[in-house]
This record gives sequence, structure tokens and C-alpha cells, in this order.
Amino acid sequence: MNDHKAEFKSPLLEVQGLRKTFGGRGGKPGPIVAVDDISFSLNPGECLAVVGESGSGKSTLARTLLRLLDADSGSVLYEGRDLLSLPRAEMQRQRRYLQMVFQDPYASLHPRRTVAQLISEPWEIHPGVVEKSGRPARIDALLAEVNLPKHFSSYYPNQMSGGQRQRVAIARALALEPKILILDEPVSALDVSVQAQVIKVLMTLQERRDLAYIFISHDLPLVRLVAHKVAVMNRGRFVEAGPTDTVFDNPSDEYTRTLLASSPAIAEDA
Amino acid sequence: MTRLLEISDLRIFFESGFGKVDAVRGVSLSMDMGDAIAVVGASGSGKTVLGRSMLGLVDAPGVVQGSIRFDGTEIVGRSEKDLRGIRGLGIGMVFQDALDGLNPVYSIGSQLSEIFTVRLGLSRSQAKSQAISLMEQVGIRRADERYNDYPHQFSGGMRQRICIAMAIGLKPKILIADEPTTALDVTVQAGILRLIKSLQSETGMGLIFVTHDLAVARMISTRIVVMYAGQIVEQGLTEEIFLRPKHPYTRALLAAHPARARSWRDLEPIPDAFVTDSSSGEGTSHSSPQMVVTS
Amino acid sequence: MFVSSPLAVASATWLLFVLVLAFVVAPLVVDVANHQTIGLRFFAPFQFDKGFAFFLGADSLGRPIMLQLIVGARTSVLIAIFSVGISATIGYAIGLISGYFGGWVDNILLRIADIIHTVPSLLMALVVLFVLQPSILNLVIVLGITRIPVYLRTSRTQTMEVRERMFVEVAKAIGASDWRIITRDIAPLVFPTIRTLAMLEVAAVILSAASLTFLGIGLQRPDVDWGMMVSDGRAYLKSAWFVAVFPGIVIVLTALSANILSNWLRAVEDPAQSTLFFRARKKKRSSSQ
Repeated sequence: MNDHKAEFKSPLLEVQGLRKTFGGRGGKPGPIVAVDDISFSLNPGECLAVVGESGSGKSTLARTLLRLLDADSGSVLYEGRDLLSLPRAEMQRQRRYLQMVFQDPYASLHPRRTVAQLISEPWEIHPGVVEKSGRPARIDALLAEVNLPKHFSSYYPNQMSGGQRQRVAIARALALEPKILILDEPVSALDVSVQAQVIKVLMTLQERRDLAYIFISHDLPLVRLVAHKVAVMNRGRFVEAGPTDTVFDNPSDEYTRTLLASSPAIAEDA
Repeated sequence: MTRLLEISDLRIFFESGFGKVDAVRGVSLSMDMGDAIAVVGASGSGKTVLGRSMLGLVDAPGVVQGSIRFDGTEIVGRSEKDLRGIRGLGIGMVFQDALDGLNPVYSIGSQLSEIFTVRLGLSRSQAKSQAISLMEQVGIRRADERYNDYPHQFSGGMRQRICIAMAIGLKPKILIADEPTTALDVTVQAGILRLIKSLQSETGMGLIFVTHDLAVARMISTRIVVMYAGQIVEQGLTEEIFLRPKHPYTRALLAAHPARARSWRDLEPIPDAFVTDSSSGEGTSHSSPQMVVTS
Repeated sequence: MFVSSPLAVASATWLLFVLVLAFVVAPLVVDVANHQTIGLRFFAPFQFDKGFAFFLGADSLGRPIMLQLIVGARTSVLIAIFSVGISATIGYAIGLISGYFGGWVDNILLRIADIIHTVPSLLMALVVLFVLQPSILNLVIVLGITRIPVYLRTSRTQTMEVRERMFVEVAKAIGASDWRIITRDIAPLVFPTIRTLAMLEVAAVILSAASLTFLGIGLQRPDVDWGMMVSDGRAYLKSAWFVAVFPGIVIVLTALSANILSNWLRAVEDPAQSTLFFRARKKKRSSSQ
């Protein structure tokens, strides 16, 4: 369980009636509904897990929240302002507060850049966040926060393991001092034995920086460890949502029960 | 008494322009009919190379030394022609990516039938009926209707079932499964694991299941072999490994598994020095494990 | 690493040799090369009687073939480099834009490329050069423009593929502008393919130029390139094979060297390819096979 105290302040993020379809023409909604009327709120320091299998729409949800895809309707209120209706330039500025860590550590880092270049790229795109002179020190500090030694800053992605790459991706996501991290299956592409490393880093960061997480995953035992609230997604809708323990111990939805029953469990021995 | 499979002091390394890389460093293992062994290890532990070597699938620049005896016949050093005789008929293999194993331009029916026409010399109609009953055996409903469908018309889980069908169609004595469920959703994975287990008990064949996840290994195996840096560091009965893990690496694996922990604070990441990801520049295996434990 | 591939060394040496001949030696021997001596018509090769210049024989007008090859080297190389340079650069750039943005921009650019592509480039070149004066410059321009489509398509397709890769999505998520993504993220990854293509095209251009000069357009004596030499010698293959064969060999060697070198460059940059390249000699399988 996640015992980090997430106090109730006013919600950092409030999503209402988000809807995204595919297959439409000329701006009209299409037949394939990927995200179907999703609403939820997120407080600072809180970790919301979105659980679903492939095809549930969870990745589309993440991209729609960040306006990497254009939603059909709905609103995403960040600190009271609707991100979906901001003009592009303003949205670009707001992007720094909602960063994303992608699933595949082998694909999300540009193969021809060093770690230092990867981490400083956000600063080049958003000048003014960190002055040029201060960047090397910030890079070292970020690497330390994700438990990577300083000399990694000159490494290329292909010189690092999956777990190390993913931690670089996290360091990069922190470069702009975001308030919200959307983590799209952050450890699914890693060996189980390596997942612990990345999870610990993520959770420690959350505590230290009071970050809010949207943690997307299909791995239930893992979700139980990190989330305050869980929303189970199936075919674009949240079929069940609530505090972690409630959803796990007393699932009300059939699909949730199936998911729980399918997870290989190795807890509770002797 | 000839064991079904006997591996003795297997060593596999790769020579490249950049030097010599040891993948498997002295592995010995044996199994009989009906055994279900899970080979558990992280990426870079050598588990995949080990699995592939049993079918003679390690190509240049890899070099295989030592002995692998299947039902008494030596596999290391055999000619391609002899190995082809063993593949499919003696030992079948299922790979991680079902898409890789199936040719997208042929219907799955024709791909399955091909096994019977080419390897067993059956007629087309005999092969077709065998193929259909094979599809039913692996849980594909309305098999006769789906006989002419193409791979892309099936879901990931279904495709993996078809790959399993292709691997067991000739009734091999051993099935090697290399991370067959790693790319699949949790509910689909459960179905595939159930299928493999039931196929195994129906046919009594031996099973070697390669995985990085101890939880999956527990569901499918009677014995577990833990690999680290090309060597076996612990092997024993599945439940023994879970109740009384002896080797520090095995214990580390258990301590790092999310399903074992109650809170994320309980998770004990495996120290970077132990990580054997073959692509890493830092943290490739340094020391050999201090002891090899068998129970 | 360079040393462990004798093929690459040999290719690079040959190309260097050709370049030296083309730019250093050619200007010095131009006059002698074009000097016609009827009495030495079809002088047989491999004799030193008439001096070093005639070691490879003489052509139908008594000009020394070896020196002609050297002068021709300059012409062929210049044409190849410049026209490939033009088409590759333009095709690369347009392909990046077209592939990245898609939509109507892509449609229009693609249609233009199609139009260029549909008319057989040689025919178009013929028509254009017939109207214009034969000269190296015109030949370069025409060959440059007619060959844009293949680079455009390749660049566009690769751009479309790279565009879908995750780190591009990451850049967008951070807030990078399209221009930045195209120039800094995508372009460097598309470049190696264009470079490989360009080096392969060098041979094709030399041959295209030869076809044109064979038809009597594009170049006029005293400008001479290897292709022209081959076509000049065609009529005499039975009696004086060397007039056509020597330039032919030189074309093949140069084209081959360009190919090999471009493969080597690829191998050096991409570790996954390198084992194939460097161990090309050892086809033997592991001891288990």
C-alpha cells in the first residue's frame, strides 16, 4: 500500500467527461470510442492507478490528457484552467507541469543523445527554467535523485540497461519541475527483478517532492503497492474506482474480479 | 538409464568484433518425461540462449561447447539435417513473439497443415483434419471456421495458442517455451499458462519454461532453475525454492518481486552490481556467485 | 576497425585514387589526352613503345586511352557528385517535410514527385538537353532534378517511420516545436539512409550520363566522360575491345567501391550490422551445427 500522506487540498487535476474517438472525419466523432466519458480528480501527493489491459484505452487516455491527441469533448482542469481549450502557445508553457514517462525505455530515449543531452533537452525547449550555467549541476542532482552515478551523464542509451534507461527517462521528466507525472506502464517492459529499482525511485520521489501520479498499469500486485486510488478501465470506461484497499478486497465489478483472479500471486508464504 | 534430456557442462560464448561474450558458463541439467522445469533469470542471464541451444538454434558467431543429450543422442555439433529431424518431432519450441512465429501471408490452417504434410507425409485432407483437431486442442473455438483465417485476424493470445499448436503438433517429447506470455495481458497470460499445464499433463511431455518472473514460474513448474550470469545458482523443487531459498540471488529475486511485498518500502531492489542486462555498460556481472546450491 | 576490413580499405584507396586523378592529374594532361594522332589509331595496349600515356592503347582517333580515362574521371566524378548532391539534398529536405506533416502538404509534394517520376527521366533529359546547349552544367542540372523522386520517397518513408517512434512523442510531450523535432530528432536518423542511397546512385548517374552522351546529347567533345568512352568503343568491340572495356572496368570498380564504402560506413555506425560486415568472410556456423 502507499502510505504517503496525501492530504486533501484542492484538486490539482480535475478531468470531466473526457471523450476521444477514432475513425471520425472532418472533426466529427468516429465509431471507435477509446475514451468514453472519463472523469476523475487528482490531489497533490496522490497516486491514482489506472488499471486496464491492452485495448482498454488507458494509453489513449494519457495522451488525451496531455493533448498529444485531441479530445472530442470534455475538460481537463489543471489548477482550475482547462488545458484542452488553451491556445497552443499557452499549452506549450503549461506542458512543463504535466510530464510523462513512457513505457518502453528502449524507444523513448533518442539513440544518438547522451544522458546529459537527453535531460537538458526540456531546458532548451523551455528556456528560463534553468539557466545554462546551472545545468550541469542540475543534471548531477537529477541523476542522484534517481540513484544513478554522475558519470552516467556521458553515456548513450545503448550503454545502459532497461532499468537505468527508465530512470533516465524519469530524471528527464523531472527536469521541468512538474507537479504531475503520468506514468504509462513505467515498468512493464522491464524484468520483474528490475522493476523494484524503478518503483522505489518513483515512490521516494513522490514523497520528497509531493508529486501527483497517474500510474497506468495492467499489473495488479504492483498497483496495490503504489496507488492511493485505483480506477479500473475497460473499453474506454472506468468500470470501478475507489481507494486501493477497497477495490482490491471488495471488488464490485466482474471485470475487476477477473483481473484479480488472473494475477500470478506469490505472496504469503509460511 | 537414459534421461530424456541431459545437459552437461554446457558452455556458449559469442565472438564479435568487440570481444568475447560468455552467455552460458558451465550449465548442467537433466530432466525426464513429465518434468516441468522453469528456467528463471533476468535479461542477460543466459536463459534464452540456453533454451535455443537445445534445438541447435545458436548460430555463428556463437560457439557451443559441452554436451546436450536428447534421449541419448548428442545435439551439440550435429548437422543441420539431423537437427531438423529432432526439431518439432522430438523437441518443440514456442517463442516470445507470436507474430514472429507465424507467416502473415499464409492462413494459419495452411501453416498448421504444412507440419503434417511435410513432416509426416499425410495427405492434404488428413493434414487438414489433424490441424483442426490441433486447433481445438489449444482452445480455438469454431476451429473449422477459422481454419482459413490469417494471423492478423487473431488476437495476441490466440496467435500464441496457434504457435503452441505448431510446436506440439508432431507430439514432441519436450516443449521449450521461451517467455511465451511476457508480451500478453494478464488475463490472457493466465489462459495460456493453463493451456500449457493441461497440455503437459495430457501428453506427459517434458516442459522447459523460460521466464524472468518467479510468480509465473511458480504457476507452471515442479522444478525451478535460477540462472545468473550464465550459471545455475540454485535449482530445486518449486515450493522449496519459495519456502527456503538458499542462494543470495534467489532471495534477492524474491525480495524484489512486487507480488511479495506489502508496501513499496518493502521492495528490495537488486543492487546494480547484480544486474546482468547484456546491453549495459555499467553493472554487467562482476563476481561469480559464491556458491551453487542444489536442493 | 577500418583495418579489419580489407574490402573497405581497398575501396577507399580506389576512390581516393580516382579523385586524385580527377582533380590533380586531369588538368595537367588534358591537352595530350585530346590530341588526335590518326597514325596511332587503335594502338594496342600493354606496350610501352609509344610511352607511358599509350600503355592502355589508343582509341579510334589515336587519343591515348589512359589519359582519356583520367580526364573522363574528372568529368564523370564532377557530374556524379554534383547531380547526386542536388537531388539528394532536395529530395531529403522535401521528404522530411512531406513525411512529417502529412496531409495536404504531403499530397501536393508527392504529386509533384510523381509527375517527375512518371516521365522517364532519360526521355525528359533528352528533351531538355536537346533544347539546351550540351554542357556539363546542364547535364548536372537535368540529372539532378530528374532523380529527386527516389530520395524524396525514401526520406519521406523513413521520416514517417521515425515520426512514429516514441522519442518523437516524448519531444512533443516536453513541448518541442515541429521544426525542432524535424531537424534535431528525425533528420539525423534519416540521413544515413540517404547517404547510402546517394553513394549507390553515383553509379547509376554515371551510367545515365553515359546513356545520354551515347545518344549524342549532354556532352560534346572535347568534354569526355567514361560513359562516352564506352559508347565510343561499342562499335569496335571485336577489333579493339580495349576502347570500351577499360572505361567499363573503371566504371564498375568505382561503383563497386562506392557501394562497399557506404556499407562500411553503415556497419561502423550501427553495431547490429557490424558483425555481419566484418565477419563476412567466415560463413562457418558454430560447432553445434
